[in-house]
Amino acid sequence: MKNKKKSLTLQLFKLFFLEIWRNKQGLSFLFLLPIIFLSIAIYTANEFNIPIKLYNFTETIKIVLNHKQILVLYITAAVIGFLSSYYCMVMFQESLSYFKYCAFIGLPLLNYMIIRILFFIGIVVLITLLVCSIIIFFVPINNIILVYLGFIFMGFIYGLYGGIVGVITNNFLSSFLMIIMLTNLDVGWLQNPVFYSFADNTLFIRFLPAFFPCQFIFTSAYTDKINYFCGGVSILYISVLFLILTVIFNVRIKGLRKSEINLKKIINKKELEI
Amino acid sequence: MNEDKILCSCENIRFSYGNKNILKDCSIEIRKGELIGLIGENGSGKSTLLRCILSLEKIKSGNIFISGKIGYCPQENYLYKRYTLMEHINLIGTILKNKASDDFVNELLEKFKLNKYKNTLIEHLSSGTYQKLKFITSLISKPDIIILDEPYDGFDWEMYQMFWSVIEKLKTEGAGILLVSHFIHDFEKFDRIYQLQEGITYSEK
Repeated sequence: MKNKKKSLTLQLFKLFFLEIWRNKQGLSFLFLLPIIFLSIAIYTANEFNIPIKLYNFTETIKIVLNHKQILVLYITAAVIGFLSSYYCMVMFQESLSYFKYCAFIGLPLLNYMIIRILFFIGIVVLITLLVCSIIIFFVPINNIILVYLGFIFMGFIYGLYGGIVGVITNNFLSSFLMIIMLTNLDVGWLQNPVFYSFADNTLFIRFLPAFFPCQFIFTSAYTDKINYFCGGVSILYISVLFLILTVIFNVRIKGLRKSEINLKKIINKKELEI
Repeated sequence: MNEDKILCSCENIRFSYGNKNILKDCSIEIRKGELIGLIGENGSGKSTLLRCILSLEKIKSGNIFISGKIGYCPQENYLYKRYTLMEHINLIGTILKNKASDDFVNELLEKFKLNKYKNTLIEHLSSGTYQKLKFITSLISKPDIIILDEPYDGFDWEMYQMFWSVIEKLKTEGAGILLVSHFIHDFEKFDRIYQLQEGITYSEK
């Protein structure tokens, strides 16, 4: 029995890895998007200085950054946000009905969920490391570890959002649009520090998922301060989204087995065995 | 008929989606070594009835008695496109508590000419081959009760006949089989037929 459990875990690890490897569309996104977006950002940005404001709950940090410093970081955040949500959406969506069947015939859901989450963490960290490895060559970063951490926050928040979208909808196109729309509106537009600094009403922007990681990243990259508040709220966002994903995923995948309890109550004769 | 031979019995099943009553009064019995046909118009609730038997849907009222392992071949295309045929078979084999011997599975793969697709990704299988794989998957647990929802869509003539020879063999070995079909020429193969009409099952033959 123990051997079987071990063999199942190993098999799932192998299959989940193959899923990612065989997703050629995802692999091309992973390598092409950062190159295309960052090349355009670096090519088009100038050295013009812009005063910007960063949010840190008790105080507003005011700094002056040049166009390139702003653009490189915020485009990186957008790319990480999109890639994480795309990968996690695909990870949960494509195989949902398959693993529903597997759950129906006896796949232990806890095993499955733990391995999926490990893959989710792995893929977000990998995306972040890959994309971030480019930016250090173009802009001077103050605290690289914290900037990486901020991007990982961004990846987790958007990855979990992508996962939720993937679990809720079966249709690839509509879920792809959902992640594109939010990434575009949030990270790709409203979280641009220039836009945020000069916005008339910042309250709405502060409620968007990318706000806190973005503020954490910019504070860590271009000041000596550590933005504990934004880091803390990012972790809170991650926890809440993780909880939502777990609940929705369980409801969707267990949908098949929900009435088994009901059935057992009715039968009470011989246990249902698949 | 001996009561002990009953593998599955559903009595007066009622099921509805919201206010719409899909199944009003359905009763079905599957006995050992018996091949049962379930027929009815499109949208009459055949697949829903199967899902109720399998406890995949919550019934409003009625009784379901099941005795033995179930193998289920759903109508939906649930197989995951990024796995190969063998990766899928191996995973299902590992998940199942009691599965048939490797020889039995290999024999089925051989019979349905799936050996050459062992390392082919499921997304590259033709619809007939995909269907064969779904059918074989439902047999990996060596079930006592086999529930098949339009299992031979896309089969060529040779495979269609192979399908029936496998069904015959499983039947003689004592499995109880419930099969949803629309083909009138299959009806003579069934020991009994249930017709589902306006949410009510009528026993024929």
